Amino acid sequence: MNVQVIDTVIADEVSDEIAEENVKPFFDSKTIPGNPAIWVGIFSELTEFALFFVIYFLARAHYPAEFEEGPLHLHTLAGTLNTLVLISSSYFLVKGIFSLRNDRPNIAVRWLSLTLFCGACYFAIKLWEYQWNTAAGIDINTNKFFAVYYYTTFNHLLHVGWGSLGIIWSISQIKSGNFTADNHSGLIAAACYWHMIDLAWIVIFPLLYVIQ
Amino acid sequence: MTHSENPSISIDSNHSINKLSAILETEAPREPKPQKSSRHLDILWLCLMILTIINAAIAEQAEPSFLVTLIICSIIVLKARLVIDYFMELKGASPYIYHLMNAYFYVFPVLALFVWLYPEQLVELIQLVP
Repeated sequence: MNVQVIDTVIADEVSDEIAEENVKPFFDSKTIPGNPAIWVGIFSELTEFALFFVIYFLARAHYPAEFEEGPLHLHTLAGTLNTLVLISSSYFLVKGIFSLRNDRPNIAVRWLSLTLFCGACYFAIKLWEYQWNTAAGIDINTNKFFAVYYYTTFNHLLHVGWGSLGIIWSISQIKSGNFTADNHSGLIAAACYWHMIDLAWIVIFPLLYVIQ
Repeated sequence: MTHSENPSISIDSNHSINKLSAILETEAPREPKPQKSSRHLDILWLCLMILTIINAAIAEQAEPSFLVTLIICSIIVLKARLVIDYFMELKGASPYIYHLMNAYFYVFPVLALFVWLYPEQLVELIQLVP
């Protein structure tokens, strides 16, 4: 083949590549962790939590006395333990991703199992807290603060359940060899969803348990 | 004269092969770079745990004041930034996602502070009947 023809073809390809690099798309799928669909889900969930936060703010403004008293009647230790458990779960999850990237799937499964264990601990602590509330005569109808508290925390509890299902699915995919060091975008998607749950609690905990 | 004996053809061919291999290298699937260490995650986890315990200590002991509320709201922002930047690794992700996530965790702590400071003004603002 003529060398000049090869040169022309290569020059065209190089110029096409340069042109592609210069045109930046609105959303570059390569820079979206996991996949675009999970981010639609994450932002939908965050919008839902935003509504709960707005309801909290409006209720607090209208019933300041109830919201100043409310945190004093809650089980602060249970709330703190749940925060520590969720932060640890996120940490174990990232360690699992690091292990998989380093081509150590068995270690990754162990880290992810710890994340799942933290999810179970969260459920157990929340159940203990609700039972403690009931014993103390607190329920959803006690006042506006506890109505907001129960709706927000129970909604969050449900999300921990969805997130746990995502982690179980990721573990099964690693075990079956579908997620590897080179290909694990599904795990990243599940991890981003789990971190979103952790982030939502980072706001919920101070609003309900700390700020008086 | 053979191909190797002609210096101009040889130089052109080498140049083309280099370009071709450069293109093939960019199109070929890249192996992920091995992660050096996850030690920074251990430190981050410790920081997040300490910040949570500070929050709990404030809840148990501190009297409500503007400064205390400001510290609590600042801790929310700090914890959220650490999770977003390092656990979610959004720093290198799409700027739309990164900035939107960050904005969310700035807006709500600021709103919490605003509602703590000006509850009466908020009630006036959202009243349907003046």
